[in-house]
Amino acid sequence: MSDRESGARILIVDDEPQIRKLLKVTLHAHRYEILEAGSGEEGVLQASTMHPDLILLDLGLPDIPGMDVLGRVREWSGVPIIVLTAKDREEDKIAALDGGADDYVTKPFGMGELVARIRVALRHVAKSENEPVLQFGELMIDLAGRAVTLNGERVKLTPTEYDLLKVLSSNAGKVVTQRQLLQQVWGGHHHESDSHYLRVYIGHLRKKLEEDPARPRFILTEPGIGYRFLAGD
Amino acid sequence: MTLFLGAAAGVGKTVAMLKAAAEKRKEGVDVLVGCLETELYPETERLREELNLPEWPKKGADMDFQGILRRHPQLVIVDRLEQVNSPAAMKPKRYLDVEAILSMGIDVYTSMNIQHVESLNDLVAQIVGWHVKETVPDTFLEQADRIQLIDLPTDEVIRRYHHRIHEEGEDEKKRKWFRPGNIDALREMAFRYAAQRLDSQLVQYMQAQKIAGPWPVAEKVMVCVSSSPFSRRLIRLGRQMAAGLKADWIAVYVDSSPWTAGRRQDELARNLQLAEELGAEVVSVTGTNIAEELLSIASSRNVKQIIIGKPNRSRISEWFGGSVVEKVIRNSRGISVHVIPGKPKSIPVKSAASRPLKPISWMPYMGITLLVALLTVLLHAFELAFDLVNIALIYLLPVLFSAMYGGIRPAVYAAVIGVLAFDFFFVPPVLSFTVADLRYLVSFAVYLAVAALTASLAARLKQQLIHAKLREAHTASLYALSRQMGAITDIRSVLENVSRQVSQTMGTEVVIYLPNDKKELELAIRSSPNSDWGRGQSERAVAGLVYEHGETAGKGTSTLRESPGFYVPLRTEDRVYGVLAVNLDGVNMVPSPENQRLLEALGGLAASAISRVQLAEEAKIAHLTAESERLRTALLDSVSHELRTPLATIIGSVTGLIDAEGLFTKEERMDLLSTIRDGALRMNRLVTNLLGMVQLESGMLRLRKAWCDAGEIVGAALSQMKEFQQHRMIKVSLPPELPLIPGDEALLEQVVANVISNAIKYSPDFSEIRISAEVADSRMVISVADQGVGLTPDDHERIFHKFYRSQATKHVPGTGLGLAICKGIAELHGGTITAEPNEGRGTIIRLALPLGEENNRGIPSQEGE
Repeated sequence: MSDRESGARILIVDDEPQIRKLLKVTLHAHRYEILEAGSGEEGVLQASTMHPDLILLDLGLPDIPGMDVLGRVREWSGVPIIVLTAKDREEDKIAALDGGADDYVTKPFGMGELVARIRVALRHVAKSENEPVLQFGELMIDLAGRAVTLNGERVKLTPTEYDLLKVLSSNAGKVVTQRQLLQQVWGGHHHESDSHYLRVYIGHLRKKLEEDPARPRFILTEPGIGYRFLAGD
Repeated sequence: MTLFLGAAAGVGKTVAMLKAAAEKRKEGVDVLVGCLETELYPETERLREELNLPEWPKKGADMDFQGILRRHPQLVIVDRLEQVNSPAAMKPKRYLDVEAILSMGIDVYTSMNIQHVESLNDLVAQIVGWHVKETVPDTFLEQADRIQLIDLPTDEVIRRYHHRIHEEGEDEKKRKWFRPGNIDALREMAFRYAAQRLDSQLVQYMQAQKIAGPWPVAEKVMVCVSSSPFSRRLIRLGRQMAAGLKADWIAVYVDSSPWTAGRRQDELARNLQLAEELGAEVVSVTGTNIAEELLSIASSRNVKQIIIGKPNRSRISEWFGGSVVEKVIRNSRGISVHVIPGKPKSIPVKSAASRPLKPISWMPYMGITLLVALLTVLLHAFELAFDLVNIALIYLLPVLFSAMYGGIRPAVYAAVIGVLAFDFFFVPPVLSFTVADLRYLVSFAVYLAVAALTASLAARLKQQLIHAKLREAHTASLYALSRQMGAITDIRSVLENVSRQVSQTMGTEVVIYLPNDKKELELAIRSSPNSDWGRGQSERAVAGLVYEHGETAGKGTSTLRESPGFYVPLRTEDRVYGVLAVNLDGVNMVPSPENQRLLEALGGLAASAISRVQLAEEAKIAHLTAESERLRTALLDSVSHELRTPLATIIGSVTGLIDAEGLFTKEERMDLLSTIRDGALRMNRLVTNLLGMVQLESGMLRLRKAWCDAGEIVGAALSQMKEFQQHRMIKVSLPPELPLIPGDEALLEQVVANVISNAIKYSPDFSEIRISAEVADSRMVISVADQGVGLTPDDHERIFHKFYRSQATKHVPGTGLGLAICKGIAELHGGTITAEPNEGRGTIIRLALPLGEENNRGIPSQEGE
């Protein structure tokens, strides 16, 4: 844990006092500054006044749905939001990610996992937007030159494969939903059934980048939701 | 199907057929001999064995077509297609068995002699002198893909016949048959028939190949059918003409109401059926003007040829009623009318079994005689007061009466004796039949004419009345049934109604079969409980057949005509729901087309009622499923939330502690540990509640009853709550002398603790919670009053429902199980639990428990629920 990350201000929006208490104690121990909100309205208010660096948002709020809180915060802020949810229903997660959440964690969660996700989200913000070269271990992506090298060797990618890799790697560590990928790579309107394109191209990418495409190191599948590019650390 | 057609027995059809089949067998086709008539011709059996063709055993004298269907060969050999099956068989005729075999995609080789072709029946009868009873309809024979004509010179046929009679002995009929003239004629007929078929195949081929030719316009032949046996000849003629013109044909019957009853109805049914079998479209209409009806059908159906019989009526009756034939001809406008003169007695029709006529009742004639006598006596007494004309008019009265009540014959009788009495007693010379003044003869004639006319009019009216009543009865029974059906919601009553209605209408017993869960047909209801009809194997077999094919069977139909019952499928457009069977055994009648239609309509009604009821039941089940689905989702959501939240705190705290052991201060560690404890306790409460609910619902919860003290229960509950009391101010007020109540202490404590924890959960910090107990109406009432958010009036009932959460308290976590369990436990104790608004704000929950009998301090015996 680097010092740059610690000290970040985290807003917890959850109606369960026990969860708030747990998060507060644990994250405080990890040197984060903690803000608490017990309801959606309060959460929106705190997010606008206290300028948190990251928001942990429970989707099952009593007063207004967590999805609405997400939407209202996203209207004016790009602050990273990690969604906490007890519902493990896929459609909720997809909706939250498509609605602007950066990541999600399903209750019950291990503290280590949550802290790791918080770090990824914070680091992603810290990275400057126009970094020309992305480096993930032996994989290097030169955004300016549209070139990909693996172990120093040039990897030949089709334009679509390259775009797909670019979207995934520039969101490294985060889940990107199928819809987001379809929109950013292919553009325009897409149908649920178009996801098989995605599957095909991800398959091509894995063949070119992974040593063992069946057990990928870089591009992980989040079943039913989308893909996550592993930062490789 | 290949038909091996011969002109007479012994031309070698069977041999040719067997040889052809053996060829097929060599090609690898799975050939099976369905039936051979080996008794008459043992040499065919020898040939079969020589050719090594397998044979399927017969069922008695009949071909076992069901067995053959099960065995499912590729080609079946059926000898003597025209054979009439024994009454026990499933289908009345062998060609129907073959039809069933063909419909399963199995090819058939079959043999037949020319005289059995239905449309040639009359012709054959004219040649040989009697009607051949075993006939096969032309429509069926047209299904044959090939006709193979087997022919021998006439003298060879006769030589073979004579050769055979040495072995069998001679038969008068057969000897007449095997005359050279007959055989020549039959051979010619066979040639013609085969040629005609070849011709029509050629035409079909040319049409299919788009070869131009003078195709006849699609015109129709119409045959006018009546209930006379003579109509059968017309029908066969119509068939021949239609086949010659390659046109469709229709058989029309005009129901002009008054004169069709009883035997005639049967004849008519037989005629129409024959027409149907020969491929006609049967049209039956009602109308008084027969000619007009016929012509209107003709013009609407594009009929170009009308075949009509000329009845053997006397000139006078024609003059009275007007000849239908003449009217049809007069107004035919471009339609060719073929008038066939009737000679119904030229060929005796034996098949029309004549029934004994209804015995004539003598009562009306006696009455009329008496009436006339009485009138005569009376008129004699007042003779001076009346003119002779008046007297003649008065004598008309008995005629009118008898026409009204007795029919036409008594009326004529009344007219005759009226005239005689008038002449004898009043016309001078009195007391003699001689008439002095010849002008009286004119009077008599007028009198008789008037009497005949009025009598026939009255009789006609009466007949029409009877007919109208019958129709009305049918309509009424349909209407009554349909009205009753609308209101019925269970199948049992539907069936009861249908069977009662049908049995009333038909005047006989009725049973209904419905399929059970395994799709086997079962007797569902019978109209007469003491009868055994319908239980037997044969009735069930027929019902099964009807259910499978969805077509009527039994008496008066083409399937199982010999069966004593009439079976109607209860069918809607897409499904058969069951079978309605009518026992016609005792009634001894063939159901008229009208009754068949009525039964079919009733069957349709019943089917739609059953389908409606079934749909309603399915909808109900679907609704219940949806409801339980909703409950399950609610349970899943609630349990998943309630279980996951404490689990999340526990796992989060523990992983935090493990992962970052060094990071925490001592207080922080304690905080995390207390979070773990609270989470675990919360889960425990949830699991207890869930188990309690399961026990309550499955009836497994048993009360361990003992005498309990209300004070102790409240105290114990409060001590449980200590940890969660937070900042609520709990006030307890218990009167000093509270009686003991019988109950399960642990469960009652759980109830009170649940109620108190709710009060804490739903009220703000520093508010007051008041717990009290009192005795009212021989019940112990424990109340818990809070100053929380309160409930809407509806909620006061619903909060005790499983998984129900009040809208106002949705933000407070909970499963909606606690109060449901409280209610269950309270009810197990014979008590109640209710909610009502507190004064000011908040809610009061009251638990009322019975005090127990006489409240002695003895320990009540252990009790189940």
